[in-house]
Amino acid sequence: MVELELGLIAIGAGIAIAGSAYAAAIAEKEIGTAAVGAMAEKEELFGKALILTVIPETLVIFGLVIAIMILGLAPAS
Amino acid sequence: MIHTKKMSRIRITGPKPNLWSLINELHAMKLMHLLDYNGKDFETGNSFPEAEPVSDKLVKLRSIISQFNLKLTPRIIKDLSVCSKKFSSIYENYFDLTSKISSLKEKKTFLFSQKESIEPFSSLNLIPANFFGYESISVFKGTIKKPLLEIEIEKTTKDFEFFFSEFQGKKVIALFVSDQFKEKIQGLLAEHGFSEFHFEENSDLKQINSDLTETEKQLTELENKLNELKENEGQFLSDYEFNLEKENEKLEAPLKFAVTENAFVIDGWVALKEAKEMQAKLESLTKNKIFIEFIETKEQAPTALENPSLVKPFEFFMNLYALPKYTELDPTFLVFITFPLFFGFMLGDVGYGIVTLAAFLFLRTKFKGEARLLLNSLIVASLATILFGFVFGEFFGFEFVEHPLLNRVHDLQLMLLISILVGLIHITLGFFIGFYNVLIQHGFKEAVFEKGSWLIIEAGGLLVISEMILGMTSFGNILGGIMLLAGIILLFKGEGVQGIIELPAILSNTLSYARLFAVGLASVQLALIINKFATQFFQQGGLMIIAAILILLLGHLINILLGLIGPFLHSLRLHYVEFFGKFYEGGGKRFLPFGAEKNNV
Repeated sequence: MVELELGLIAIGAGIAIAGSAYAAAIAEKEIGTAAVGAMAEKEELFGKALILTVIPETLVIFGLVIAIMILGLAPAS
Repeated sequence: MIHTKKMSRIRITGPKPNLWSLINELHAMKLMHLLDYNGKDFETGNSFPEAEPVSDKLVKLRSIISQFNLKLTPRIIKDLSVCSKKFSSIYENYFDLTSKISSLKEKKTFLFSQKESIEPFSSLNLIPANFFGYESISVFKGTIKKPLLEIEIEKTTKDFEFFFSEFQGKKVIALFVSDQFKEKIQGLLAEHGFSEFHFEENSDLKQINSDLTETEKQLTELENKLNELKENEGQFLSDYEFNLEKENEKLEAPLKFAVTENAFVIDGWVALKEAKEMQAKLESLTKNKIFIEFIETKEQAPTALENPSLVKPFEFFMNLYALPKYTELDPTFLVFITFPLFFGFMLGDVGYGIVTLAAFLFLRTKFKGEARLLLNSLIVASLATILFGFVFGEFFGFEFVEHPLLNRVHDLQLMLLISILVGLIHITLGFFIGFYNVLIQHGFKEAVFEKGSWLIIEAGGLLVISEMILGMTSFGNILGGIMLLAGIILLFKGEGVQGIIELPAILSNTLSYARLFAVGLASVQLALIINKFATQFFQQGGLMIIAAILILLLGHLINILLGLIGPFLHSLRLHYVEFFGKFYEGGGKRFLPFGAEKNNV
């Protein structure tokens, strides 16, 4: 049987990803809506809108870094 | 390459009789960026008298072109004088056709509304003549929304004639009452949502129907003629518009110049290395009647990027963001180095690299202009993908090398470390460029305050990490601490409170480079899952092999599409946000030589 400790570590890593992904999703939703609105007025803004929309994706990266660090706590087996 | 094209400010003075030939020559040379004269000492010039009929023609031409929705590639016309007559006959023809069409359309709408009003009464067996010619009887003809019963009318009067039927879902009524009850009945009908129909006594449904068919026939005939005109003369119209626009540019050029009674002054920018040649050519053309001087000025010159053809496609990314100022470094070359590397590091698969390379090479033949620049840069990125595919030893997710240089799936910590190190180097490079930019724009002191401070903070932070986390040095904490403090004080002097607020950003910016391996990890894991899934089907044999092949094809197709969007956007973002944020100001004015195509620079 897998040890409880290992399971908790896995859950912790999962929460780190899920939480940060959720946060990024909320942020991207807001920015995306505004960006599409701006693009409807001025189509040339596509490039900038695209970049602005992916900016919050950094949040997931932070979550991933933390998750990997948590996984690093697991005993090597 | 690293710098924008060197410009020199040039001023041409000469007598007015030479103006037209000079303008023609400048327009053909496509070398000089003209500046508007907005001083107070002289007047600005007027356009040549020929400009008015030309711009008048242009307006007509453009209205036809937009009506026809023409999107043809224009060609050069050598002799414009013969076109004028041809155009006026085309325009006359066009005008005649369109005005006839619009009057026919009006007629059609009118007939149609007549038909709509009369037709419903045929279901009541009434013809238009039945509704007219009464002396003391009011007639109501139309539709109602709520059903009306005869009892309701009887409340007002018993002396009436009422017709009702349903026609195509509408409730049609005809009501004849004595004039004295007119107003009361009107009120009653209004409650039932009555809307009146109008038509003339002598209208005849048959006649209207045949008129309608006739009008429609004429209309299609004329529209066919108009289409024919578009097919036959579309190319000519596009060509003429294009060439006339150039003519107009020349005729209206004096609006930018300063003039006196007998002389003119043209002010503008020319690329430094072409300036002498241009001067000699113009002077010989006008037999030394003009005077050309080069002016020292601190004004910002317009920006022209100058890169070798291999790097040129990456100017696309500068156009998408913002053009550098004249005094700024042109980062296109750096983007050329790092964009494909980042992209390749993220996608990193020999198979995916080959597929995308083939796709881009194919698409390249289909597009022109901006899209082509983008595709060219993506081709370089695909090559980098193949290169990193060998480093990671991956082919469509399969490990084809037993011990690759780097294993993306297992060496997570190492990949993370590499990504962050790359970030650190990239950001430091950004600060150095920023230092240089401020140095040449504002001087050494500002450069140290604004950008040098960041470099000191970065170095101090690294020293602290070297002792606290890595335990490699014994002096890191003290020395690093001093450097951090000094850096922060410098930064405060350089950028104020804003700089202090941005301090944590240096950490988050560096960590942001973790995406370099994170995006790749997601892509390789997806590929592995697809392969595993397909392998299970393969093992079952028989028909399942077909399913397995489908899974492989579809799965990898989706993964390649995702793999294009992800690495592209993330690589771009690392440049725009993390890298450019350290040094780039942008906002340069594009160098647009007189006579050059505006949308094709």
